[in-house]
Amino acid sequence: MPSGSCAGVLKHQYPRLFAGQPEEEEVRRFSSRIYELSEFLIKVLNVRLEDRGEPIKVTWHSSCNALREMAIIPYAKALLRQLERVELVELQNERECCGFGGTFSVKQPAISAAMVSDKVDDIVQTGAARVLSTDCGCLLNISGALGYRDLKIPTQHLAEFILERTHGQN
Amino acid sequence: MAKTEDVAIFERNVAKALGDGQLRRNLRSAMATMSQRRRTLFADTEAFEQLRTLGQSIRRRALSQLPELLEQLEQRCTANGIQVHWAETAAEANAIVLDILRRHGATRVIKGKSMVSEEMHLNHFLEEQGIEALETDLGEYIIQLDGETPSHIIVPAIHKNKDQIAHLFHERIPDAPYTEVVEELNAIARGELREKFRTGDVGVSGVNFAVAETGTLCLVENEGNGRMCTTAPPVHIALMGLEKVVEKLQDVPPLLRLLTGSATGQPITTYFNMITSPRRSGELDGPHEVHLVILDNGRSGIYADPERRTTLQCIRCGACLNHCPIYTRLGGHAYGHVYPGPIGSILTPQLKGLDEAGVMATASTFCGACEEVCPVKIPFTEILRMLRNEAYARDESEHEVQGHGYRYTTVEALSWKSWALYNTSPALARIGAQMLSKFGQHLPMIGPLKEWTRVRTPPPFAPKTLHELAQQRGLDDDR
Repeated sequence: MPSGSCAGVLKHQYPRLFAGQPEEEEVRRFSSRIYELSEFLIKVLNVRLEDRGEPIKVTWHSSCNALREMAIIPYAKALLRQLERVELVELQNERECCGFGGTFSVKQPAISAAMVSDKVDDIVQTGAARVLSTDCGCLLNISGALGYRDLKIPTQHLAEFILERTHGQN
Repeated sequence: MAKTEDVAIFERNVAKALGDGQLRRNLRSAMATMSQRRRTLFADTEAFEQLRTLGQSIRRRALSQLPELLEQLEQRCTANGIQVHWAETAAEANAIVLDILRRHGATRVIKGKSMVSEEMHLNHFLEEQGIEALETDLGEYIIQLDGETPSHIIVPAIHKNKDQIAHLFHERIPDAPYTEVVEELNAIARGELREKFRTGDVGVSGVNFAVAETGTLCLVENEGNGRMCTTAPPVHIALMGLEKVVEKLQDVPPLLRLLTGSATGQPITTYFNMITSPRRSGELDGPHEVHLVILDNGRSGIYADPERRTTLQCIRCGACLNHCPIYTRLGGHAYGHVYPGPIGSILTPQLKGLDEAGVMATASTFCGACEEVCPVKIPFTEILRMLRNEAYARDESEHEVQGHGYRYTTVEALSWKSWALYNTSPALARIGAQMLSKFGQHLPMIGPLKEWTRVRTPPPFAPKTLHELAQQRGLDDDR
């Protein structure tokens, strides 16, 4: 799964949802096979990435589910470290939520806005040319807020970034 | 969609809190310090994990035999000479306290920090009866001077900085000079409080742990004011929520370590009081009477449901507040209830009913920071999710939380039904996705999209759906 949040639901919440149901055993087998993409690339495929891109400075946003529920951030960063010309500048408050939270973003819009605004400030202070993450929900939120403030810092999913770097495109 | 009253109030509070730049700066710096101290103390993550697993099991074991332990606590306390009172509601607890005060002709009460007394609105109640109740914890003293309530369960004046306190002391304490030197501010408060300790008629305190095995009341504090309140006046009244009981004396050290470490990053507090009886004959000090008031106030309802019961594991360390991205932006007052932050958001709707406090359960992104630091592993997100479901569960409430279904609207129920239909029917989902990629950019900016675009550009829709892209590449996308 190219998403900490989706993987978290399938891996950790499905067994809870189906507890006591006839499908419980089948669901457990299914859930045991779920990997988040970065974990799969490192642990199962044991990939070696070859960086063919130009030098670039990026920053990293840890989605809450990738960080806590799936605990896969070390794998994602291990992938980035394999890319020789990629410099990772970490956020000051990397462990803090970006304020998306699904329906939270529209049910508590003022708090969500304050949170994503702080996240954008944090991104700007890194001086990075791009923001990477494993979760599209966060990226949607962050890119929307960056765009609204007219900041030209693209956001990108880690999978796309790896594809781009290993294929030598810019 | 019509807003329920709790939602409308919360929105106003949020707007006010977010607009207060000073408040946000104060909170940011205070929370960063507290969480840094905690991280340093629990630097060994493996050891911490073991310790909190132990803490969780101690609290679970206590809750699994709560009625028996409370009975045992009453027996042991009574045998030790502590008078035990039971209160089903806050009003009953207030009446019990008042009755004790009246019997002793008390007009001046000195108080140690107690969140249960806040829950009872005891100060306000006593004031109406013409009795002065003075807070003696420095933070509580500060906010009482300013006519405020605690904004944090451990650090009640966390929303104020030194300069604000300097002005407050100068304005409200007779003859207090203006000073911004912390030691001088402390000295001013100390001078005021000494006289009150000396002349107080009755001392009131909270209870951090009550040990059933020995009938011991444990009180954790840093300033010595708790010891003063529980030893200087002739009468001591201890207030506790009924979940604060633990089985054995040996349960206390790990919980104490977890409590102080999680709260302030201290290995132990400056003072730790264990109160087992009033003054015995031949002893030179201590109160002649000790009373213990055990308060229910909605807790037994929480206890009755096994899933909700985990809420009562809480030892009130406040770590969930310090690490919550929402609490650290709003402070405690915005929540509008006695217990703020993540613990308040799971506890208050269950104590007071969803119709009064259900909105608190929406003040979370489910980021899980609270769960990560909780020293007794309360499953915050599960409880929050359950409360959100209950808020909409009109007839089919599974957990029977008071006020369930209060936010049910036909419109919202229908939208979620459509959402479920959309996601369980591949054909519908396919058509829907295609429609969004074609017409998504032209969606009217109303409802959720309006809220989204207040600070964000509208979400871009991909020109082709994932299914279309897969088909183009000749992939069998139905498998």
